[in-house]
Amino acid sequence: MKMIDRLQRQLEIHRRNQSRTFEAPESDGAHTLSLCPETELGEEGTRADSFAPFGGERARRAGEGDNQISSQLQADARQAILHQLERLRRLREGRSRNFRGQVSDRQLHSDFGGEIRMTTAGSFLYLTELYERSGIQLNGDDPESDRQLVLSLVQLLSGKQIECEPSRIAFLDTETTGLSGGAGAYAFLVGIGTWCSSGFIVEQFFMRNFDEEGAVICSLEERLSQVKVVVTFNGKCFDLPLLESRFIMHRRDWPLVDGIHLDLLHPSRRLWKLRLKDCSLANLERQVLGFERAEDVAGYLIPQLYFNYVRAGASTGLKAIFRHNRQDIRTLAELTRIVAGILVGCSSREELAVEDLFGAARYLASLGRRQQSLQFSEEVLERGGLESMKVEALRQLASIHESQKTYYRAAALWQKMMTTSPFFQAEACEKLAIHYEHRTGDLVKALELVEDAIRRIQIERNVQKSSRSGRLHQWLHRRARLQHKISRSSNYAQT
Amino acid sequence: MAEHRLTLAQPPKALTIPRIVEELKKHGDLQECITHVEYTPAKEAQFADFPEGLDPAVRQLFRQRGIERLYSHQAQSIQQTLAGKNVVVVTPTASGKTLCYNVPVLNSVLTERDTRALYLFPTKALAQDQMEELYQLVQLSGKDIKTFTYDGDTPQDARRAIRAQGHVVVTNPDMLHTGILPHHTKWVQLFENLKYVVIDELHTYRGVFGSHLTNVLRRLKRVCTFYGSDPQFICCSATIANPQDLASRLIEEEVELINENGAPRAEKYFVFYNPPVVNKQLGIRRSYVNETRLVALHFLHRGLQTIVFANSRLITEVLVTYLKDALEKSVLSKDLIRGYRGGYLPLERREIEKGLREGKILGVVATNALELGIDIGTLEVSVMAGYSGSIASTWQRAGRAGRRAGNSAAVLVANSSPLDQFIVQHPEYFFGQSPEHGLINPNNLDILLNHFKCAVFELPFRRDEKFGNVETDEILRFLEEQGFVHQAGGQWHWTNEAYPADAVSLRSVSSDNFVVLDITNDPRIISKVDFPSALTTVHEKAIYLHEGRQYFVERLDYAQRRAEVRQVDTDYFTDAISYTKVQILEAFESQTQKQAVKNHGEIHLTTQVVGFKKIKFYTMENVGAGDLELPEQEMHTTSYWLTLRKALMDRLPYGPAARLGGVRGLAHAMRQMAVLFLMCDLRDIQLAVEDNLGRESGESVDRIPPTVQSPSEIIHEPNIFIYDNYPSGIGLSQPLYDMHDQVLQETARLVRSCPCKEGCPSCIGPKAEVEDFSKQVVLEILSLIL
Repeated sequence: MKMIDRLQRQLEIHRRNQSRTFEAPESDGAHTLSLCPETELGEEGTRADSFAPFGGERARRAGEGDNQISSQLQADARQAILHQLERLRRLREGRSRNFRGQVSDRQLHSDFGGEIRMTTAGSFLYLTELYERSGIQLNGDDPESDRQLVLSLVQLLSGKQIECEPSRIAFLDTETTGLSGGAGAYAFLVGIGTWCSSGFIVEQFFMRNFDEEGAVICSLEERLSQVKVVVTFNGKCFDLPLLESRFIMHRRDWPLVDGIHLDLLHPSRRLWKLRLKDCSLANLERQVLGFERAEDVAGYLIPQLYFNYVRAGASTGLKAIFRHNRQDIRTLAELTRIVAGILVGCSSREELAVEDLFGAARYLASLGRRQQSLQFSEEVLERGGLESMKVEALRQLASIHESQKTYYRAAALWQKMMTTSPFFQAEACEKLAIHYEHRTGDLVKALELVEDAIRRIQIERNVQKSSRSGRLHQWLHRRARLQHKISRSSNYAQT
Repeated sequence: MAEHRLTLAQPPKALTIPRIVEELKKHGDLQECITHVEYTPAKEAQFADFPEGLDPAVRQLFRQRGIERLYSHQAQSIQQTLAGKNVVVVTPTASGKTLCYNVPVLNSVLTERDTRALYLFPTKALAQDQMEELYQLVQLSGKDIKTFTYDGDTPQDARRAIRAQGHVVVTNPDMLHTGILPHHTKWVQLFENLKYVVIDELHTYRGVFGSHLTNVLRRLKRVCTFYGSDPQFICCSATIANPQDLASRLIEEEVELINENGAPRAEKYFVFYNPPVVNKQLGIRRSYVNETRLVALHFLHRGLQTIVFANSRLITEVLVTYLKDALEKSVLSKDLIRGYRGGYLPLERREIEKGLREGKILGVVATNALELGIDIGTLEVSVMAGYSGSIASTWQRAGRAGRRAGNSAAVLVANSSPLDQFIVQHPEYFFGQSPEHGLINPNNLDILLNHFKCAVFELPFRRDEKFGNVETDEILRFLEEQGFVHQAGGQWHWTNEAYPADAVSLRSVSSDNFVVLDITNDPRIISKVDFPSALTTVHEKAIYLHEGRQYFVERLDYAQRRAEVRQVDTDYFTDAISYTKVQILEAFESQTQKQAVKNHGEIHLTTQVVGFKKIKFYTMENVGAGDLELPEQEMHTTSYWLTLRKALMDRLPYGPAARLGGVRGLAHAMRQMAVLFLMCDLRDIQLAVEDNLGRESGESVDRIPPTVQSPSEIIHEPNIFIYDNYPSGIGLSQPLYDMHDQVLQETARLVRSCPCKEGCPSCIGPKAEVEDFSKQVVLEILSLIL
């Protein structure tokens, strides 16, 4: 067999083996997106040292010793690797390369209206966009009232009381090259939104290539050090750890150590899960803000679009990503105002769906705001709604009254629970029995309830043939005690 | 052997073992089965003082544990470590190896509070065990030293604390690979202050696993360099031929060897036991499982604490049942016998270990799970059901009996495989110097590419950077073509959404595998089969054996990598017939010796599974066959091969069929011996035989079918290929080439000393597959080329 045939064959095998061994490279979007002439990519920048090692204490031992074993090892290894590399080299021959030059800075500049920012660690693209006060905002267009709302929300959710200017409350969202985390996922675009006197402003920090990350981080360090409160959506698990990791990769201090973080994911779920199920930011934007994005890029496409840009300078997808990021941040800010309005503000409750109202009631109760929760629950009952929710609201309300020791009101609600729906009937019955036995001393009424409960359990058992004994023996025990008490008191009455 | 009815009341133990071994030797039935008894006299301990430069608190700590002086090897190793050297400590089981690393580690944590150490153990169970020992030491010290295990079982909420605070993190290579290195930014404190990396059970890192580990360590060192630390390595290994070489290949630095054992050794008897031949014609011996039972009972009935090792989970369970039954028939409680293997729950394992230490359990039947250093105290007897496959692990197993004091016995019961037969019939080989080598090939292209991905994910590569001893440029350019990396500003960055470590298993070359789905009831996955063996074990209509149960393969979904099986009860199993074509791409070295040529180099293999045979259990009759159409598999790998010249073949006074049978028999026996010398698994190397002349004459490559079907299939100049069964090779071929003479000599000894007449499974392969006279042909060929 001729040499060239053999090499051809090796190439084939390796490709075939590879299709089994490795996942296929992600979509080859670069082919379609780029029309630029072929040039070599990002040549040596000025900051090739960003990962320079901190000198080790001991000199590296490897390769230094001329001990027989290690030099023999080195020689063997070199031999072997050279051989394999030879194969690799052949492999590469005849393959089309899809590297295209980068779009010039100026083009990007004019395309996106950004500016090239210089830092001690190099340059990057910085974009700002101002949304004037008549934008999508529906109500309340005073930065001062927004600020107060957010700060009250911070206090409610974190228990910390702080004061700061509106410009120190930052709404943050990142676009990344991977969703699984780890040191190899980059935040290539970081957007920060703040309220200002004229409206809402979004700043975006974008690395046009991987060698600009240092500059972005450097600039972010400065920007974020001015931030007191950072608001995100799922930032606790995703955006902030990832950003922090990027800071570590550049050996820079994390500027948000003392900042307060408000992750809106959790409150949003508490408020809207009942009604919406899907509590992603996109869905909340549609359902809660009532906003439809005219054109948007699907989140899962974002890493690939960025890779295409970096490799081939395809900037079309990029515009969409910038817009997407800005919109996410505006939605985040708007959502924050709505959440705050519901939980700590005086936004009118009539506009809320009854499910949301109930969600808020429960959430407030869990946050220890009983009085507010009480009001919300009462309103849920007034407005009616689903049976199950009604009884839950009754229960919620009753338990607040119970904990506030306004027992007579709780008892009325338990009574209502028993007639409203079979859910929690047993629970209400028990609470009432306790109430009559121990608080009002109405033993006969208590006994009636107990008898009733026992009857129900027995029927249930017969019908369902289930072994679920309920808590029958507890009820029987209670009955015995009540009977005993009653007979004793009647004896007493007789004597 | 008669069942003995004895109680636990015993004479002083010092007398027991020699007497019982004598009894065993004289026992009528057993006498002829004992092929060898090796007596090792006791040896005094050699002590040394704690080296200078240790913190007084450390000495005090060990004094509290009753350790006033060290064994000489411990002192030597600690001294070298304190002097900043990497060390590898190679001494037998129970010689106090853990102290070699716990002393310097505790010393540095006590003197510099920020110091961190990383312990790597090959299994989770071992990590847990060592953790326990270290924890006790720390408790005793009364100091706030945090030691943690970090593995797949570590709860999520505990992980954060471990990352920030753990002084000593005990984990395994797999976890380091997927859980720690890719998330190094969460481990800043560890990597900034990492002073020692401990690699225990170093000998387990050979072949594929070791090749991966080298790359994981390359990644570890990159990350350490980034954070400004430069850890030292402390390695411990069981006895192998090349510990220093293996250690320096793994860590790619110079290593000091410490191999003079200062620990005392008690008297020891090592008995080789070969079950009697019951059918001389077919070379069939009595079942080794049953014989193991008899031997173990011989000791158990005399009240001696005994560990029995089996080579599979199935045999372990079988022996547990046998021994429990036997004990129940005597006056002893069956609860005195326990099993121990992977799959038992951790709590149960702890309970068994404790029972053994406290003497509440008389006998334990274990897999290799108990072979490594888990503390089970001092046992008196170790019985091995079958040879473990390597001398090193056999010594480990034998070493579980008689730690330090008192005398002990070890008995190896051979099964009928060539390897076992060779060992029991050639004790001088076993007891001579350990010839086994731990071999690795970290630069295997597939392994290397995978770790390059992980490495670039963890930290961008500088343009001039090296990865271990590998130049990075070409490989990174290759990955760039595939869209995995991108160069910017003189650095290579990861440009893929994936988390690469998840796709790489350290225990295999390719991460591709088939899942076996049991659809008898609700579908459930019962096992995974790696790609190369999938086509021969889970092809359609195959009987797949798993945990002693039989499954019929209904469907093999090639694209989805899935086999659907249904549980059945058949009296046969299947054996795939595959044809292999070999093409020599390049011979790196060749040497002619007499009328044979030894070679090693690169080959191209095309394998196709074309059918299968149905074979009846027990009788091994061929009861049917079937055709299969499966895709061809190609592999490019390294191989050793032996060419038998035409002139030599022509001199053999036998017909073509016998010649072919002889060549195949020789190949079979050589492969068994190669496994022995390479210290690898049988599945790591494969065999192919083909005619040299057919290829040279320019025709398509002839293959030789597994059975001789027609006289037209005549070989003129055969090549016997023993190749690395992994894409691009795992580094076994060149060593095999270098060991050529030794392998052939021992092959000749194996075949010559086998008592069978015409070949048997214990030497040149089962009779069904070879022609009469094959054995004579094999011996003839060997005498002509040696």
